Order: sequence, then C-alpha cells, then structure tokens
Amino acid sequence: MSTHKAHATPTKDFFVRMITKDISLEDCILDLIDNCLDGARKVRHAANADARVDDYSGFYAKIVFAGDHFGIVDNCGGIKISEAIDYAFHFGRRPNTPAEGDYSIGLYGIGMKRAIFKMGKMIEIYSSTAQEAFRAQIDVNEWLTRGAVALPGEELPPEDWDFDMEDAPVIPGTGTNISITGLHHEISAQFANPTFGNSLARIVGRDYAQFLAKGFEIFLNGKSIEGFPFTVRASDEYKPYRLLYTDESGVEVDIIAGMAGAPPDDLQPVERRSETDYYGWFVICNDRVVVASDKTDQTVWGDGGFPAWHFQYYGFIGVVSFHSKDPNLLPWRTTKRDVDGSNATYRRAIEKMKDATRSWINYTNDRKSDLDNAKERESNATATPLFQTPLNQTLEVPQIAITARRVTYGSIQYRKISSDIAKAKKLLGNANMSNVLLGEKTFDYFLKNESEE
Amino acid sequence: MPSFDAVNYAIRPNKAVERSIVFSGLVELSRIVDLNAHQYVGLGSLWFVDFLMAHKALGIKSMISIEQSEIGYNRSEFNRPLACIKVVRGESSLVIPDLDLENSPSLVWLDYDSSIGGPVIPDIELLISRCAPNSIVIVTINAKRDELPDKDENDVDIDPETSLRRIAGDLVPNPLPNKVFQRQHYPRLLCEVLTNQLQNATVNSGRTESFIKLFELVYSDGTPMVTVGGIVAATDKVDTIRQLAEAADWEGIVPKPIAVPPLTVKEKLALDRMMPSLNSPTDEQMKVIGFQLKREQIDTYHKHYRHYPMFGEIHL
Repeated sequence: MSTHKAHATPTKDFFVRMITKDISLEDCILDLIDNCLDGARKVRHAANADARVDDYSGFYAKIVFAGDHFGIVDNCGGIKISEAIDYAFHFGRRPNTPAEGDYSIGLYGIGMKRAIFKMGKMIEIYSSTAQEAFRAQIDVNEWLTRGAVALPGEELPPEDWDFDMEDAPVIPGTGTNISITGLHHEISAQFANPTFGNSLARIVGRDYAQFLAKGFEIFLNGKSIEGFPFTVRASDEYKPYRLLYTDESGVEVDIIAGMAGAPPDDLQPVERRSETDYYGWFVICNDRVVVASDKTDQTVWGDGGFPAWHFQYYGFIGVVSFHSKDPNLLPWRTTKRDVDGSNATYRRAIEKMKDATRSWINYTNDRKSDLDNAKERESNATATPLFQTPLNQTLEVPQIAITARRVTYGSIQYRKISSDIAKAKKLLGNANMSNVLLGEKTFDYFLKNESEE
Repeated sequence: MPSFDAVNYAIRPNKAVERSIVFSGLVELSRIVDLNAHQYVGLGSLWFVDFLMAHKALGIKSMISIEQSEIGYNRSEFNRPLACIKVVRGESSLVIPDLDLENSPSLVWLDYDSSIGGPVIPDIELLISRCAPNSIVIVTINAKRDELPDKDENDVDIDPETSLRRIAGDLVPNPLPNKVFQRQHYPRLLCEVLTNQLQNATVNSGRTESFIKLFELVYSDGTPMVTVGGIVAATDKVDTIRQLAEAADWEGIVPKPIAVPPLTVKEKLALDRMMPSLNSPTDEQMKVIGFQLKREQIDTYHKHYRHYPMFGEIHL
C-alpha cells in the first residue's frame, strides 16, 4: 500500500485573499491605529509596569491618503528588529509570542499585514526604536510568485514567505512609518472620494474617543480629529444607570445606560438622522469601541425573549466597557469590530445590560400616555459627560402614566402632498418639524382663531 | 410663491453672467466631447433661457423640461419656445427615474429654487448612477443661510452644523473649519457638499468613469445662489478634460462671488472700448473715461465683461 502526503500548506495567494476579504477598508485603518496605541502603551509601561495607561499625551498617529497613496506615521516607540523578524511579519501570532503588552488592543498580530495587503502592491515600512531601525520594501506581486517554481519531475519547493529587511539609521523619537502605493483600483476610488475621509473622521472620533480624551492625537490628512463627546441626560428625575464590577474571569466591567436624546414623536421612521449613530448599545474593550450604536442581537436587542430594537427607543444610549490585562479574555473577534457572543463574561454582562435597557423600554411606552408632560420633563434633563456618570443601580425615569391628566384623547390622521407639508412647516418656522407636531400646531391654530371661547 | 412669480428670470444680471459662463465652458468642452447629440434636461420654468442657449450654442435637439406645479406646467407648455422641448410634469425626484439616461449621454442642469435640504442630494444620485458616460450634471441651489433649519423635529434648537449634518451626513467636511457658517462663507460650504455628492455618487455606483468638476460659481441677484457641476468622463477623455478644467484660462470655477455692477449702456460701451486687456483698468484710466466705480466692481467687470448682459424695456 502506498501513502501520499497531502499538501496542507496554504498558498500565499489564497492566504492574502482570505485575510483581506472580510475586513472593510475603514477597519484596516483602525487596525493600524490600534498598533500605534499598543506601541504608545508599551512605551508608557516600560516606565511604569503597573496599571492601565491613562495618559497618552505626546503620542500621535498621522494618516494621509489620496487616490495614489496611503501613509501612516507614528511616534509610538517603533518595532524592534527581533520582533519584526519573528512576530510582526509572521502571519498570525506564533504560540511562543511573548505576552502582548498589558491591556493591549492589537490582539491577533495580523492587523498590519492585513491592512497593507488590502490596500496596495508596493509597501515600504521604516521603523525605529531608540536603539535600532529597519526598513522593509515589499513588492506584493513579486512576493506572491517568488520561489514557487517546480523543476520537471520534482516536487513544488516550499514557498518562500519571508520579507526582506535591511538595517536602517536610527532616528530617535520616530516610531513606525508605513507607506503604500500601487493601490488597488477600488481602494484608490474610495480614497479619492471625499465622503470616505469624512466618514472615517466620524468613526475615528467616535471609536477612539476614550484615547483622544487621554491625550492621544490622530490626524487625518493633516487635520486633528476630536473625540466625540459622549453625553447622557440627567436631572432629579432622570438618573442614568451605572454599574462597576469585576467579573469572575477577572475582567473589569463598567456599564452605563441612559437617555442621550429625546425620544421621537412620530412613530414612523423619518429621514436619516445623524444622531442615530450615537443611539443603541456600545461595546468597548480596553478603551477601544468594538461595536458602535448597536441595534441588533449582537447586544441585547431581540436576544432571547428581549424586545427587538424599535424606532420608539431612539434616544437611548448604553455603553459596556471591558478591561483586562490579558486581551484574550475580552469578548472580541479578530476584526475587533465584532463581539464574541459566546464569551461567558459577555453573557453575564448582557443580563445586566438588559435590566438597564428594560426600564427605558417601559418608559417609552408610558410617556405616550402624556406626551406633553414627558417632553417637558425630558427637556429639564441636561447633557452630562457619559463617563462621569455616578454609580446608580437602576436607570431612573419619572412615572409618566401616574401623573397623567384625567382627560381622554383621540387621534387624527390624514394625507397631504409632501411639498405642501414642507411648505406648512416652513411657515410655522421649522422645516424639520415632525408631522405630528405640524398636525398639533395647525389644529391649535384653527381652534384658537375659530373658537369663541 | 413659485420663483417665476417673484422674479423675471430674464433680468438678473449675475444669473445671466453665470449662465453665459456655463455655456461658453460647454462650447469649449464640445471640442473634446461632442455635445450636440446629448439630451438636455432642465427646469425650464416659463423662460427657457438655458434651453435656447443649449439649442443655439450647442446644437442640442432633444430637450426635456421638468415642471412641478400644475399652473407652472400649463404656462410652461404655452411658453415652450422650441418644438424639440418636451415639458414633463412632476417632482424632479419622481421624473428622473423615468428618463432615458442610459442609452445616450445627457446634459442635465437642474436649477432649483430650493436649498441643500431640497431634492438636490438624492437627485444627484439618481442622475449620476444611471447616466451614460460623458454625461454632464450641473445643479444650482439657493445658498441662503436662513434656509438651514435651526430646530429639530421636536422644535428643539439645533446648531447649524448639526442641522447640515442631518441633511448631508458625511458629505459635510469633517472636521469642519470655523466660520464656515458665516453668511459670506456658507455658499462655498454648500459648493463643497455638492461636489462631494457628485464625486461620491460616481464612486458609490461603482462607475469606472471619473467625475471631473467643471463648474463652481457663486452669484447673487438678491438671493445667494451656487452652481456646481461636471462631467462623468469616459476613461479615454479623462486626461484631456482634466487639462481643460485645470487650465489657467478655464472660467467655470470662479473663486470670488459673481457680482457685476449695474451699468448704463453708455458706461458699458465706454468700458468695453478698453477690453480685452491683461489687467483691469486703473483708477487713472477710469478718470480719463470720465466716471468712477468701486475697485471690486471694475475688477469684476473686467473679469466677466464678455458675459455681461444689457436689458431694455420694449413697448409692444
């Protein structure tokens, strides 16, 4: 009986296609920013090995992109040559990789390779620590075809997966500098689209708000990005929920939930509202936003018997943050834009998140019984910084139904030409007014002018 | 009140300059891309000035005017100056999907009364995603700051940036520089939003052609207006069209608002005797011809004199 050996080694080409297929261009860039942040954290840890890093001032990542190139430059400590040889350029993380810096976010060691292969064909990397520096130039087409030629009658030689690196002069205080040209056509088209840059700025401002608040600076095409100021409304009657605990896995968990904006009057979807990007649940791992403004069963909505997201819940914000020295304990997946729903720490947090959400759901039902009263009370709640919310076991909201006036209501519904509706709203001084409000105002106007009371 | 009841389109001098700049630009473009077989689509209102220019200057023989209101439609039919113009009744956003845009290139100029919150953003997408290669899309909207709502749907105050982002999302530059909402800067901000949407719609619909901006004009005859447009250029024309649009003598992209001075016939003729000239007439030269204007008026006239209209009263 003869045995044959099956080739189980993936080809480079297959590998490159696989790792770049399931990640968006935006996420690739975020991966590169994560590497900068990990670098900055290592530099800080070298000075003080304990505790989370709460000061990133002085560190930056400068990103430039256009139709023909991409570049990212940081001053976050650089990559050691030994790390570059053994780990940074190796696909996936080797089992003997030394523990990633504490509280790290660059978990899978694949971010840089995935990002550069996703974007283009000519890559140049220069990195300098205080002691040593290297330069690597990668021609992806050459690398893909290199070494895979079989002589007649011979087995295919093993593919050469190595990248060539050379020593380079040390420039202290530099860090890592990645430049990509020969962009793939669809990447080039996206970089040339101004909307891409605007949307990237929005995502960066939102997902790195915590790091930006701690002094890290991110520049997109020369413009400094400001972190999104997460807020939650609070008053004597509206008190946001906050729970801090250490999970049995050792992961620290922080849950905050409350009212970010007033719920809508109309119970039908209106035009795109930009604030909706900030409603729903956020999941944060080691300060990095992993899931933003979720309205699906990735978090609580429609999970088990829990209600699915409804337009009525607009205005709600919930943020769950996980912190751990060991990033492997955190509930995230390789793209870092996705939670691992089966993670036990996460499952336990979900139950508490549901408690916090439930009182908001009930409130949005109750408030319908006396909308005017609810709106007045809501408007008295003022926006306060979300991450400074004091500890509070329940999401407190006023009991609208009990205080409702003892009158009965009827509702009126009718159809009119959209352009006439728009005209009436403008005449009433607010083109954005909801249809419900327009109906009420025109009705009140009629009564005021025609009734004899 | 529809704008045709408010203004006689024929006597807005800055509008006339803008229109003349656009059509002389298109005439130059027609040396690279043949435009006489294009279909013209516009909002002709009662005057059809742009239709007449498209027909006379470019030789276009297939034309559609979109008219929303019922009275407007009837009067538009009555005033239609050429047999080749077809008036279609309806809102632009509902008429555009029914137009035949794929089979041959179009020259579309939608000159709206509304501002950025009107149908312009979705209309651009409807046009760009379907139009044949080498089609031209131009839009004009009003750029009055007050048109931007200052309240949300619950009547709660919102700042201008929030308001504009609700309308235009990521088309709005991010981060936004200071002062862009000041009255004098606001029209340029809208130009940028419109340019972004034209680019964005081209990339997002997966087109292999490139959008090249040809026109960016700010003008005012009482109400500030902006015009932005360009061509969805077929790959083989991209380089030559880019050269044209980036050339120093290309007039379609004007950094300063068009604000020509009202002049009498006698003044115009006196100034014209000094044109063309490399530099704008000096104060000395003005003294010699015998009347004074503000420096910026002289400069604007010098820049736009070829497009300057004269109006007269006719007794019929």
